[in-house]
Amino acid sequence: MAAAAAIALAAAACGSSSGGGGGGAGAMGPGFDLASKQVLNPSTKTGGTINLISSASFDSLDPGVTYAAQTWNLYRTFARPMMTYQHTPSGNQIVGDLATGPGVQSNGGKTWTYTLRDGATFEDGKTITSADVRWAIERSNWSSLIGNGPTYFRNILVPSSDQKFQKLDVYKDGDKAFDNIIVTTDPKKITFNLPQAFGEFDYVMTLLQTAPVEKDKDIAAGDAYSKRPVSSGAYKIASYSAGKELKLVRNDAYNQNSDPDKVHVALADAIDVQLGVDSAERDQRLLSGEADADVASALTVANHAKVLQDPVLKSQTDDSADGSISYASINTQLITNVDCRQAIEYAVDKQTVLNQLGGKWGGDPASNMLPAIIPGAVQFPTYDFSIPKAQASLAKCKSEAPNLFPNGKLSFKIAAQVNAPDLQNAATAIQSSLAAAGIDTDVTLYPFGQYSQFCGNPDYARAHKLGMCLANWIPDWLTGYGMLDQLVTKNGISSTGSQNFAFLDDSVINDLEKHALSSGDSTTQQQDWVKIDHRVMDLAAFVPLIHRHVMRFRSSRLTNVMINPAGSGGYDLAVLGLK
Amino acid sequence: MTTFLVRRAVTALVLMLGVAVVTFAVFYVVPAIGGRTTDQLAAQFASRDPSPEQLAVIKHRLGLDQSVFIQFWDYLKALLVGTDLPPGSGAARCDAPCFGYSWRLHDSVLSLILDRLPVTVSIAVGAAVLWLVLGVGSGALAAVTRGGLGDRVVRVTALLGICLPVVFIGPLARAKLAWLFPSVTYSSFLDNPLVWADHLVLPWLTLSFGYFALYTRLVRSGMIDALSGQYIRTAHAKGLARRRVVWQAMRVTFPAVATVFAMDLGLLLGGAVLAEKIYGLHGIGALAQDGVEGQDLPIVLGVTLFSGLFIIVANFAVDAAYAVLDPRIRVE
Repeated sequence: MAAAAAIALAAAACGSSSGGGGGGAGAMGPGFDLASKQVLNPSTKTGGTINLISSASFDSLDPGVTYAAQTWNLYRTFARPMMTYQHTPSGNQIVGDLATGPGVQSNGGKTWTYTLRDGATFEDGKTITSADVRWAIERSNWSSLIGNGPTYFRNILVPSSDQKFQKLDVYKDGDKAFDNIIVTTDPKKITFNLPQAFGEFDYVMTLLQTAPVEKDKDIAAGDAYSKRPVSSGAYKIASYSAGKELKLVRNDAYNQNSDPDKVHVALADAIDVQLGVDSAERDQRLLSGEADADVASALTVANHAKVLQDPVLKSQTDDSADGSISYASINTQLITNVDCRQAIEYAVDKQTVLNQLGGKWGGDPASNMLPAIIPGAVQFPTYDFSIPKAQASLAKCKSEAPNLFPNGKLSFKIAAQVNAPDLQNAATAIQSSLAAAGIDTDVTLYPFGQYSQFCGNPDYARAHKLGMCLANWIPDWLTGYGMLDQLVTKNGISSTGSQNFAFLDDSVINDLEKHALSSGDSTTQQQDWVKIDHRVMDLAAFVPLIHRHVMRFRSSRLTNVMINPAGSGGYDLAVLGLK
Repeated sequence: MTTFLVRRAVTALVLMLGVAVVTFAVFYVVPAIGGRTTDQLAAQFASRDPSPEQLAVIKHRLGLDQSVFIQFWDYLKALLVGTDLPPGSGAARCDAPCFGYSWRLHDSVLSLILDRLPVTVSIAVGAAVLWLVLGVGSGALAAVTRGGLGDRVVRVTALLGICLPVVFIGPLARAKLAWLFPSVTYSSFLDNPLVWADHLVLPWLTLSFGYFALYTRLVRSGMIDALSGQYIRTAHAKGLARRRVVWQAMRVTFPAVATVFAMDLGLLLGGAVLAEKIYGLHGIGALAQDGVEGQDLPIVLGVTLFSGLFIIVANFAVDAAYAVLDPRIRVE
C-alpha cells in the first residue's frame, strides 16, 4: 500500500531533468506549519543539488554504528534497511524496503521470517542476499566496532544470561553461533529465532543495522569501511570529510525494479550536507537561502521571533511535535517515599518551566509520559500545580519517612546537562518552585556525553544525592515500547549507564511490558503501555515537563516537503526534490 | 650565526618533547588523578550499557590497559615511525608522524589536520596581513601625529579593538555586513583567488580587529620612544628628510613587532576556534572543538601537539629573523 506521496512520486523516475535553482530566500513558501499535515510543492521533477546543513557532526558514517537523531533520516538515502517508514506527513506506518513486507510470525511471536526483494544490488552491482543482512546485524552488535549504536538486536536475539555472546567478536571468532538464530540458508529469506516473543520486531527491522554489508569488502577495508560504507540505496557516497561535509550522488546501480513502492525516489542528482556549522551561522544560511533545510535540528530560539514576524520567512517555517519529551526523573532509590515524590510533582510549576523551554513554540505542557503522537496514547490529568497540595503530601511523607528529612527538610540535587541551557534554566525554575513548597535543592551540571554515567549510575546518584535529572528523550520508534522501555522499566537500569534515571524497577510495570511484547495484537500492546503510563504517574517517578515541538525552516525551492516524525525526526529527506 | 641557529634548533626540539610530555599528561594522567577510571574513558566509546568484556576489548584497542609510561612510549614511537592499530573489525595503519588515530572518525589525526589546514592557513594569513599592515601603519600615523586628530582617532579605534571580543565582533559583522559579503565559506585559493578572498573577508576583519589594536599600540609607543631619542634629533638637525627619519624610528619597533607577530601567527595557525565556529569554517580550531565535544581524545591531543609545534616553529623563525633585524644578536 503505497502512500499518497509515494503515488505522486511514482512517475518520478520518468520525470524531466533540469538543474536546481529557483525559490530560495525571499520567495513566499506554501505556508506556516503545513509540512506535518500535507506534502508541500508536490513534484516529480528531477535534477539539481539539495543543500542540507547541520550544526552537529555525524557520530559515524557507518549505518551499523550511528545512533544520532539526525543520521537515521539521511542515511536511509544510501543504506537500505529491511523495513522503513511510509512517506506520509506525520505517518507512522512501516513498510518493506529491502524486505517485501512485514515479517511473518510463527512459534508464538518467537520466529520472524522476511523475504528479500528481487533485483536489489549494492552500488558495485553485486546482488544483495540474506547473508549480507545477517552480517550487517552481526558486525554491528557482536564485534569490537567502536561506536554507540543501538543494542536492540543484542538484547532481543540472544538470551541475556548466555555469556558466550557477551565476549563474541564475529570478526575474530566467526559467526557460527548464529547459524540457528539468524537463518539464511535461502539467499532470499532471513529467519530470526528469538528466545522470547517480541511483538515489535518489525520496528527493530527498520534500524539501519539491517542495511546489508558485504562481508568480504568490510573485512578487507578494516576500520576504513566505516568511513566509506558501500551503498545499497538510491544514493551513494561521493565524498566525506568527517565533521565537514558529506556529498551524496545518485547511485546508478540502484535497481528501481527492486523498489516497487518507490520508497527511494532520488529526485535530486546530488545531496550536499555541510556539517558542524555553528547554529547561528546555520540559521543565517537557512534564512538567506544558502541552505535548503537542516538535517534534523531546530532553529535557534533567537530566530523564532524573526521568522514569525516576517510573512515570507514564516511561510517557509514549521513548528510541530517530534515525539520527544522533556522530563525530570525522580530518583526512587533516593526519595523512596511516594508521598514525597508526589509532593515534588505538585510543586513543579510547568508553565514556568515551559517558558524556559521555548514557550508555546517549544512544546505543550505534559501531564503524562506518552505523547499524543504515540499510537493509542491517552493524555490524562495527573498532578496540577498546587503548593498547598505539595505541602500536604510533604507533611504526610515526613511523618512516614522522617529519615528523608535529615535537617528538617527534604533536600537533594537537580541535574542538568552542561550544553543544554534551556534545561539548565528549567532546572532553576523547578528549584524555585520546589523552594516555595519547602523542598531544598541545588542545581548541578554534568557533560552531555557522560550524563548517563552520572544520572544513570545508581550508586553515584545515591551517594551524591541526585534526586532529579532533567533530560530529553526521543523514541527510536513511535510506540509505547520505543518511548518507555528504556525510560521506566528495569531494562533501562544498569550499573553504569542507565537511561532509567528514576531507577524505577516496578514489578507491575515490568509484567505489563512483558505482556505487551508477547502480544501480537497492537491494540492490546497500546492498552498495556497506557496502563504503564498511568502506573508511572501513580508512582510519581517522573515529572513530565513538555512534549516538545521543533521549529524548522525549509527553502521554498524544495519539493515534496513533509515532516515525518516516525523514524526521521524532520523533513523526510528520501523524497525531497527541487523546483 | 650558524651556532646561534643550531643552538635554537636544539632548544626547539627539546621544547617539542616537553610539549608532547605535557599534552600527554594533561589528557591521560590528570583525568586519572581526578578520579576518572579507564573503564569510564572506554565507556564513552561503547554502546549503551557495555559489558565488562566489551570494555576490556575497547581498553585494549585504545591502549588503556597499559601503564601510562608504555602508553607514552607507544605514542612517541608512533609519532616517529607510525603504528599498526589492532586487527579485527578495526584494523588500520597510522603512518608516521602519527599524531593519533580517531576511532570515531576512522581516520588518522594528521590526515584530519591536513584536511583542515588550508582553511586555517587561509584565515590566519589573511588576517595577519591585514592586522600587520593596518596595525603598523596606523601605529606610525598615531606616533607622528601625537596628540592630534589622527592620533586620537587611531587610539579610540584601537581601544575598541581591544575591548570588543571576537564573539561580539563576529556575529555583528556577519549580521550587518551580510549584504556586502553574503557568503562565508572556504574555497581553494588556487581555484579562484578573488572568490577565496571575497568569502573570507569577514573572518579576516573579525580576527584582525583585536590584533590590529595591539599592533597599533605597540608601534605607536615604540615609535614615540624612538622619535624622542637624541639620534633622531640629530638626524633632523642634519637635515635628513622627514620620511627617512620616520622610517628609522619605525625600524626600531620591528624586532618587537616580529616577536609578537610570530607568536600570534603561530597561535592562529593552531586554530582560530572562535572565528572558525562563528563562521562555520572547518579549520583546525573547529576540529579541536569537535574533538572536545565528541570526547575524541586522540584528536584533542593531536591538535594540541600540532599547535604547540606551530608556536615552537614560529619562535624559531623569530629567533632567526632577529639575527637579521638586529645585528647585535649575531655578535652576542
